[in-house]
Amino acid sequence: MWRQGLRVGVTMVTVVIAAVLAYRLWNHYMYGPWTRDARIQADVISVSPDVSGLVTAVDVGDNRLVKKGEVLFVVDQSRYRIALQEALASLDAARADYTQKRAEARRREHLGHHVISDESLQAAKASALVAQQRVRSAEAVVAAARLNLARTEIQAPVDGYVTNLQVHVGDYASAGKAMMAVVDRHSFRVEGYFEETKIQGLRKGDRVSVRLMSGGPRLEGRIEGIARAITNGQDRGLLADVNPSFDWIRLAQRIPVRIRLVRVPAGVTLAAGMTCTVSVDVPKKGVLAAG
Amino acid sequence: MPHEFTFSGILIPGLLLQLLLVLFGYAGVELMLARIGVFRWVWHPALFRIGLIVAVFSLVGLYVRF
Repeated sequence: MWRQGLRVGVTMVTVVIAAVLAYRLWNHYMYGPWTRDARIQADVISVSPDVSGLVTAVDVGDNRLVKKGEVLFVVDQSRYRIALQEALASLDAARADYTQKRAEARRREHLGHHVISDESLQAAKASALVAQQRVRSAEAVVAAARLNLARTEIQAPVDGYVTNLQVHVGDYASAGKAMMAVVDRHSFRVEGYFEETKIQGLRKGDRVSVRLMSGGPRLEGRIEGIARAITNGQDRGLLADVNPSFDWIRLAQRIPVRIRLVRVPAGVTLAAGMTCTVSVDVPKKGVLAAG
Repeated sequence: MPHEFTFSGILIPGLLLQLLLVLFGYAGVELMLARIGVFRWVWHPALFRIGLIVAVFSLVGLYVRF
């Protein structure tokens, strides 16, 4: 009799232990604060020229690290040099005109009222003033021409890597049209797409460890923020468009969580778009931590 | 969580590898248990086996990292 009891007991204890462990494994995979769906991201700046013209020089190679302010490529300067010369010539002409008008006005001022009419004096003063303003306007044109000339050298807006270089000498660069992409080297971060079932286990500032798909040493990061809105996929303007085919099975949607990289081990090459695994280091009560 | 492993270019979840390892490993354990006569102390051998496999697999899935 006791023997039968022991046999039942051993079996049932095994089953209970198995159930508890299986439940914990399920919880870990379903609610543990970790995701394998995370991407490395970085700011990609599309560099476009501010002036149009033929590209006469490309000073960087593909994938090269550039410093902020370094010249990336140069647009044909001849036209902008000519424009500057023209502006300088107009300025000289305006100055000469002003000098003459000013002298005239001063001369007339010293003549007595019985020699020259008030109207004539006033007209001379006015034309001196107009000539003076023409000089200022010509100066502005010169400044604009100088600016255009300076803008023919397109500079790197940030420290970063030139990527997917498609600019060649002889290409025509249009003002405002993106020609080159520079990846900001200080902006690398991780975008973790956590299932909505796991979001409640995450807090801003939590330490996370990041593991690249390629393995290798772990990166350390901190949660910078959790997205507070995602599209439901069928947003039609301001009107709700509720999905009618929604009965039993529900899929957890993913919420983007932004993670600032705190420590990247030396020798780890990051490229925006890489897949990685993110897990929160500090376990929340009742949720098993992921390693 | 276990890391993925690569099989001819395809990344396979580590949990699958762990399951295979546990199943193969259990074959050996089963022989051993039968030899020392553990099953005499078991009421329902099939249920006991399932429980044992699930328990070991869960433990490995939860705590083994590679």
